[in-house]
Amino acid sequence: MKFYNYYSVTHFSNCYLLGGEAGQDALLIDPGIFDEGLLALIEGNGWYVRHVLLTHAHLAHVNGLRTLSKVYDLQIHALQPEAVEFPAEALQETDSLRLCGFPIRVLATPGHSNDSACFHIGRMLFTGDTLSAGGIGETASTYERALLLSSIRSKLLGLPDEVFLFPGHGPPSTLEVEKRFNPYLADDSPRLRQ
Amino acid sequence: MFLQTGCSVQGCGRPSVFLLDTCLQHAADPQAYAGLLRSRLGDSSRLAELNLEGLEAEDLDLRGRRVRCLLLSHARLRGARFDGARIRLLFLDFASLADCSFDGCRAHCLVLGGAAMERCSFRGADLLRCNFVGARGRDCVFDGSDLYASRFTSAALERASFRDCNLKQVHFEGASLQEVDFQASNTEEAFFR
Repeated sequence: MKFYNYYSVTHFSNCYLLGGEAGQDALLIDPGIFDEGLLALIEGNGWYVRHVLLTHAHLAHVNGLRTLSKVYDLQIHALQPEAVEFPAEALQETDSLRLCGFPIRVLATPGHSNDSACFHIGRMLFTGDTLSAGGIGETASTYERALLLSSIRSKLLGLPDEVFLFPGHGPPSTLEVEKRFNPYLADDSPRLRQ
Repeated sequence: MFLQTGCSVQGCGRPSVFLLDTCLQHAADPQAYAGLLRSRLGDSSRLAELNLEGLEAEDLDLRGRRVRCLLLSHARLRGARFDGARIRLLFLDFASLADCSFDGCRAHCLVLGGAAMERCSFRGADLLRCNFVGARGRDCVFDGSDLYASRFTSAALERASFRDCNLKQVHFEGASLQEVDFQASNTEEAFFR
């Protein structure tokens, strides 16, 4: 498996590309952009983008879909397809999704948005705007903040420390780093009450 | 690399490292591993998708190399040189780094979360979107570096120098900063709270 993280300079967001051998299908996560650089990565590896996973349907994470869907005959997967501008398959929470040969665990993590999902693939966890290095996603109310923290605690913090975390914004991290140092996840954090 | 097979020792949940079918804790001769690695990597200009978790090495020399997707989590490195390297995604989380140098390197997504850094130098480096969350640093120098969108949240830095750095979108929330020099850096564009 080859793995690339690609940065969108227009929305300051991260897009992730996973593929196997040349000639095989590739999986894109959160195409916030689709430009020459990303196209060169895909084509340079001899891949065809067959599947797109969305952690949520905010513009910074889906803005590349318009061009992407003209170039590739692809299938979009989202927790709430009705939130996506393009036809998409509905995802369910499951341990048994398999796309492009990769086993994928889908975790619903509402809070930052109702349609937020995280994807656990091997030792990688793609968290969108749910959890980032030293931070958590923005929320519009105290209820959503509580919902987000509940999602993180119940769905993500039980995963092994060795899991590598790839967020929608900011640098990568590991779950061990976040469990030990993310100030929003500390039990006595005043940020929990904000 | 992220879907790699596990250590061949039954009951061990850790992944195997590059060149071995075990993790380093179960390697037949862990002391010899750094030498084996040196001879194997030689002068190759590119290192990609290698798992070297837990590596213990002195004077590792990766100057000027192109590094992509390299795992050095929990490594113990003394005198390692990354000067002028081009780095994309290097995990050094919870690593112990002493007298290591990253001068002039161009790094995107270097992860030093939870790492312990002593007398490390990052002079004139591009450290874009790098993770120093919870890192502990003593006598480290970042002078002249571009730290755009990097995060030092909850880090503990003692006697660090950030002179003439780009601190745009850099997060220092909850960080302990003792004797840290930000002279001629754009601290107004960083987040301290």
